[in-house]
Amino acid sequence: MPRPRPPLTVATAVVALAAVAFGAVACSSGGAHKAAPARVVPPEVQIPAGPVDVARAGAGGDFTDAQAAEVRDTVARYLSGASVEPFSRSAPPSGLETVFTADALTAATGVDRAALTDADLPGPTANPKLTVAPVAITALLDANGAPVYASATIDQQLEAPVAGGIVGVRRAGDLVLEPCAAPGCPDGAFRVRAYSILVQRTLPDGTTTTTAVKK
Amino acid sequence: MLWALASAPLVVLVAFAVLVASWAAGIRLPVVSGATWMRVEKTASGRYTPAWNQPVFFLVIGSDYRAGVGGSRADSVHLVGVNPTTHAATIIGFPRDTSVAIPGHGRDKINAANAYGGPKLVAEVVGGLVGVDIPYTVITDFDGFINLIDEMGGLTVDVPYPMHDPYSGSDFDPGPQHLSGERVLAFSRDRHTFATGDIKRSENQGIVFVSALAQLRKENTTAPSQLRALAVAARHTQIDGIGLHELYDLLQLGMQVDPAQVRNVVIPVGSGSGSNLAVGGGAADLFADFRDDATLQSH
Repeated sequence: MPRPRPPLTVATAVVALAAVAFGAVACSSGGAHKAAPARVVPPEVQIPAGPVDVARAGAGGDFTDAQAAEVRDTVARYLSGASVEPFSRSAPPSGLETVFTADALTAATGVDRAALTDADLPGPTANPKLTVAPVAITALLDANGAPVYASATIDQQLEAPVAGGIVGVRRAGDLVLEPCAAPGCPDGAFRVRAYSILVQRTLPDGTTTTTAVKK
Repeated sequence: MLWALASAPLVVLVAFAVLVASWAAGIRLPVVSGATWMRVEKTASGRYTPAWNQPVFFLVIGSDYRAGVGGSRADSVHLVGVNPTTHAATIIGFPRDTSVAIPGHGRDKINAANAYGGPKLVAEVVGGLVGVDIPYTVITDFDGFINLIDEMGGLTVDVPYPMHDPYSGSDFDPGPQHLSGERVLAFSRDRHTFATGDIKRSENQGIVFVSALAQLRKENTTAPSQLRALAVAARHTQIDGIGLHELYDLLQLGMQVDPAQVRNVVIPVGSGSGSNLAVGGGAADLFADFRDDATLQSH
């Protein structure tokens, strides 16, 4: 004959179930808190205009304000797609096909990924702070006054708190751009064909320096 | 190797080759006149790109042309080979009195080839001797060379030995010294200080090339400075068959060459008829060692 279950045991089970249920809710709540980085807002990339120097292989020609603006736009897309967005969202680099030539893109996202992108850093727990120095441009014009290459000197700093400390990134160097000749390129667009970049990163567990040069 | 650029290093780069060309180049006409300091010519099809993985060869010629004196002989002839993979290079000097077969002109001194057919014919002669195709030639003359060096702000040369020669104007104690274009020209022209005459002079011209490369690399480390140098070089260079994109790529090629990895040699020569020098017996081995990768393993 079965022994009646003591009321206390039933109550215990109810309490245990309630505890499990509460725990589940608590865990769920905790998960939502960990997802806080999803609320991190990437800073807007704005490129301050710096000096524009024109090196002429011939007698004339000018590098127009519109051309300089195109160069700065490409630099802005680079910093956004390779550094600011990937770091802020813990996501892969994106949109770089509108930044680099095909050859340079292969290198920038391959052998030089560590220096050219910030995709593999700890995720920030608050909005990063971005500082970009004015970008100096030197344009090389051919004998007919048409732009052949333009260099853009960049100096970028990005910083944000992460679990266990702070991540700081300082990226400096030169990009060499050329008028885009690829099919589908917007008129007047420039693409990065070469670069010389030095990156210093301050991480919770130390400091690293990475360089990359593509001729 | 490069073309150079100079205070514009470009010029230099263009001339590394050019530079190297050291003073010279031949041709009386267009080489250097007024604002033109040198002439760069492509003598073969194809275009060097950074993806190129074969040796690249440049012929650098210094002409004896001087305003009021004339002249169109190639008194300085150097073949420069650059290995794009190892970033090493070799400079091979050809003494001006070396007796060679010149297509269409029989046997003559190598410096006469420039008077007969310009840098392209010199490249044909030298390329035939060595067994390589030479796609780029650079030529300058006395004035062009002086202007080139002065545009660079002078050149630091480590003079290896005492040199005192009233003919060339050389007057140097040994050691590193920063020289004007005129003094670098004197260093490059001196053959009376040495028992081996033009052979040692040819080697000294190679020293000028290496010195120029070292200075260019030191002074043009950033993209902006390289672009500015390229523009200066282009403004003062007659360029035939080469665009700025290719020139830029050649500049980058040159800037990657470590001066410590540049060998500077002169072909072995022996006595010939009169003042002629005969290509020496060891030359064939030297050329075979050089032509496969532009570097010397057994010399």
